Amino acid sequence: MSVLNFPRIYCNGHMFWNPPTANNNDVYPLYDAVKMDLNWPFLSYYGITPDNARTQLMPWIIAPLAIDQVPDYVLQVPGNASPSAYPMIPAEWDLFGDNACGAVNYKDIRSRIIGGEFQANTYIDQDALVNKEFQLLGNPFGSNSPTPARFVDVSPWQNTFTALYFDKLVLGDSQSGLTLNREYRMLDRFLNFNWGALGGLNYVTTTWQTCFPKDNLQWIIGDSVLLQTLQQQMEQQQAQGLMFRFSTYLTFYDRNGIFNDYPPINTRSHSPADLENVQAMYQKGLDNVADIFFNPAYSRTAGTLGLWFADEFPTAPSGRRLIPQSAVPLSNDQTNTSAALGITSTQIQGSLLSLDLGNTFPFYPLPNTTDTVPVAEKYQAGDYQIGFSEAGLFIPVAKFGFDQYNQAAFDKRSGILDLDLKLDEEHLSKLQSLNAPPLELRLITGQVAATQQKWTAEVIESGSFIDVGDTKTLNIMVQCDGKPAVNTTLWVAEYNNPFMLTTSNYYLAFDNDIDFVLFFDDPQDRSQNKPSLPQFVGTAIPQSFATLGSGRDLGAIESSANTDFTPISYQSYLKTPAALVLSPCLEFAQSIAKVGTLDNGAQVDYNLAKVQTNAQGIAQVTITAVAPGFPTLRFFVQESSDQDPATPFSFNYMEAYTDFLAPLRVLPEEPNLMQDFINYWNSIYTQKDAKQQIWDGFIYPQIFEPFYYLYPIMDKYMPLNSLQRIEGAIDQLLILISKSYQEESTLAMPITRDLPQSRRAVLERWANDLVKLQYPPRPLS
Amino acid sequence: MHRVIPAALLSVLASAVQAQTSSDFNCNNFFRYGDNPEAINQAFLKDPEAMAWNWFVCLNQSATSQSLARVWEQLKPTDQVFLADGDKPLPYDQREPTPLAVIKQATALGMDPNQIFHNLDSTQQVDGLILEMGNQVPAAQKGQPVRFQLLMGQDTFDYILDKGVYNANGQAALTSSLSFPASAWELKTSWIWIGTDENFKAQLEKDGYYITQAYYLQNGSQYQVGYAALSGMHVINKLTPDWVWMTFENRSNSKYTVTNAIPPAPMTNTTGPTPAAQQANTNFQASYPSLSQYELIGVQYTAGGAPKLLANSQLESAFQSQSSCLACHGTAAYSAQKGYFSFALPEQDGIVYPTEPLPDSAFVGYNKLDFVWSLKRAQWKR
Repeated sequence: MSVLNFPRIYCNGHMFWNPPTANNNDVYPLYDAVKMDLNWPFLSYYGITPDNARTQLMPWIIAPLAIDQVPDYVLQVPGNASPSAYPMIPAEWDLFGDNACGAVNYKDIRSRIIGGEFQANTYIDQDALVNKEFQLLGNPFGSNSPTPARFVDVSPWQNTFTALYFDKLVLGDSQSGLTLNREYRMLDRFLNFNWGALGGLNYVTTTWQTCFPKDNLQWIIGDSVLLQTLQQQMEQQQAQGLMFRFSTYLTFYDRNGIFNDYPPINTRSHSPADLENVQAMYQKGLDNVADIFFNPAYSRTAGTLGLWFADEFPTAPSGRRLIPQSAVPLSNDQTNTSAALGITSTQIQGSLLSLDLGNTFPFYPLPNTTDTVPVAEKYQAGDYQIGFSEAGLFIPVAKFGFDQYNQAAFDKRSGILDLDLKLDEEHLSKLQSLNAPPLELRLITGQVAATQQKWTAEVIESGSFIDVGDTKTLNIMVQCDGKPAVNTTLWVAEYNNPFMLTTSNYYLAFDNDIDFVLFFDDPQDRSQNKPSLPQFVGTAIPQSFATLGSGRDLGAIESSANTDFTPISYQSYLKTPAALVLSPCLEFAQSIAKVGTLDNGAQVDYNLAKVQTNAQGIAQVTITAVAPGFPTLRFFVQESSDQDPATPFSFNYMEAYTDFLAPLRVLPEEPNLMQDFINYWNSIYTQKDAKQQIWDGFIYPQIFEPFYYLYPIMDKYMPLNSLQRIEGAIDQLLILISKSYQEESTLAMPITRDLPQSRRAVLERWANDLVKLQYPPRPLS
Repeated sequence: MHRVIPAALLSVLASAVQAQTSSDFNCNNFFRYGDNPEAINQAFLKDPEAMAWNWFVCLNQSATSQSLARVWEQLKPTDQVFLADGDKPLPYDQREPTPLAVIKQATALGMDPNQIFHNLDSTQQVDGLILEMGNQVPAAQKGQPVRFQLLMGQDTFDYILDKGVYNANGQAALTSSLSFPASAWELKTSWIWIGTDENFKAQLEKDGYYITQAYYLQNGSQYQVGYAALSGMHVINKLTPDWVWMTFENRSNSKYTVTNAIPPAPMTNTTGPTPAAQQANTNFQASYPSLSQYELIGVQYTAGGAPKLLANSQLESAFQSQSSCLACHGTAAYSAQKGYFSFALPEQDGIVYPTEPLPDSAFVGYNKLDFVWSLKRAQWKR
């Protein structure tokens, strides 16, 4: 069902992404997000300490660092020592970013509704809604002017998962339009880094989805038959609301002056002159808020608005899903290469097979467009047939070729392809049945390109922020062959990442003091360093990869083979300022202790949870946060009653796009912070400058200071180093830091989302009991 | 012991102003409505915008024949009412002396140390944001904040003194809501900082800005001294129970102030001038050349009445679309336990400001401050 059902409304355009990059550094471990503080051990290498940070840190953050100025332990991390990535400015490419994102409507660059369909192959491009804009908007900020949606990587050093916060999706205008008020924020899905091998991050595609219950919809039908039909069909088909799914791809950087009015800048260059210019522009912005500028990234986007039915995941595509099995040949005018396809969601309705190819076929930027407004074209990836196997024979049910998945076809229907099934009644009936055989996607040559993923599981609460000590129950929607998996046993494991930089692999959380090889180091050429992915004895060993570059500089991917490198163990690397412990951040309510043996003989103590789905295919797992960090839950289905599913000790992040992962963020607990605050105030409250003392001695250094350095955009609106400016906005601050805004408000950026409850409580106490009462000369209790 | 500056500068109150400002309006004792508030009230209700302009004209007359200052400049600035140490302020017609460091700088700069120096002590609007200078300002002024000063009339001051609410101790001891006399007045002014840039000063003079001497304390220790241009003025009085809310601004403000967008755009007023204000502007601007570049944006005086929104682009810059003088000031309230009432309302997972009066139930546990938010500046006497 989903957007693959009819009717559909198609959107096409561009997205902008404006993250603050100093706190989201891919290469340098500048920010210790576990502790919510600057990484002082790392910064001390450059002579920067808490005592001199006020004068030394920002100049360092905007100055280029040559590769020989970077500590070995930073360069050792696989993927982090590409010589071509240096010199590099720690602030990276968008120092003043404000986490905003949304559709682009600038001059002749438009994001519009382009058409719709009531049934297969009846395209409608003449309608009152067509050519009107669509936009994601944020929550109100003291004005009727719209604010942007926001996005944030759940983990600063793990950009596999990005949350997109918004208040509403708006299509059309006051004459004919639809406003869809947010029920579920989004989390990127199917982020396929493997396509980075084709030429970098420009080639990576991701899928987003969110759904809106009926009550969240505000219709202005006007003269739009598209809207009228969508509304009628939502009722007639008894849909529970509407679904919006879109893909983003062809991401480019440094587009200032083309997509916006910001000053042109080249942050991709490593030439001294360009670096000097970037540094100078950043310095001007730091010196004067009038010179603050943004440098967003831009993507192309294509989306579909359709129906949302019961049992469908609200924030991830559900139904039958095809995942890649082998690399397929790719070609264009310039090159012949190969890559695995992406993810394909499918639906069979009557004799119609609908495929969501939004994230299936790789593309490339047309060379003559990459310096202006990039334009994509799909690689010629061959002709395909889709079908199923029966008694060892492949039964094709439909065929399609390049003309049906090329860029023009993709743009027209946002990647959706509808195919008539050419089948006899018996096979058609079989394919439509509850026990339909799994689908396969084959090249016309017979090569199996993708097969149906039997199990899928999604967690609605993915990307949640919780505090140490908090308990949360997560709802896991499980499907088997696209249908709710009733009474299914699910095992849940916690994984973590070992490095405070790049995007790294996942390792099972363990309780005991074990050691293993974390990566292989080549001191002569650390660009060749490779990760190690140890496994429990008796489990299959996944393919090992090495990446070149990280983050925006993600480049080619190579298979590792060299075993002559120096093995670096987890315990030895743990002594460095870039390391993260792999002990659990979470405790399962239904915890089951397990022991596994690594191939080096280490006995690993770990815990799993075992849960059961209900009649709706939903399982619940209850977790209690026990340590700060960025745990990721992975789910394993028990398919055999006599054998538990294998739990890998480690897996490659490149595989994450096809798996069932739920990232979380656990914020640190500082149990003494409140009492320390009270004691501090009580020691100075009689003094004339008590308000300045509590600011200088406690509130600023304990709470605001790291945010002041890492979010310089705040200088323009609420300078976080200014007591006077914060006092003058204390009522607004109290709202924006409130716990209730943490989970969904787009205004909770950048501070609130990152704010541990202990610091929030102190800030609220300071604001309510001191600032709002003009610092009464009496002690706090 | 407070030092007192020569009374010669301050001796003349509005009651001394004799000149008539229009054919049928007398500025005599206008702060007390010429001792005939009923007649003034009737005239006001008949044509609020014309009355607003009449008062504006009265406020902008020369205070004395010896002084360059205007009548409104003789009002008591709030930094002289709500003292940093919570002490009792000097009597209304006495002033704390201008800081010696300011006088020294001013003298060195060739300014007149015998004229008033306004302490432009604040930069934040009530939404917590600043208004940036930009567009056609000199490079040195780009990004600098527009500055503000609040002033009050004698009967406002006397009431505050009488109630002892000039410091936080007095406000914390309140047992009932405040009710200012009908002759209470307050002004809030906004200023484009010129500093000592003569070309910029000349440019602003050409655009009809009223320019005066001013200073402010930077970073808690360094005084900045120079000229400033009056870009906007709120005028309020309590002729009507919910007060009368009038606001004026210079017509060229969009040339010198900008939005907080990136990149910024010229700052404009989206709430007015209202049609009635436009008519009054046409009439009065022609009659008063020295005020001809200022325009009335509108007048509010009745809860729920038109215009619903009223803002000054210099004083409510970013939240004009949710700005109602009356509704916002109607939330002025204080609780010894909760502090000042927050008019930033948490709605729609965001922040909105009231454009209609809030119900009484919102103020349980608070004492209302009769629309006077300047009381928020009170400090504790420790």
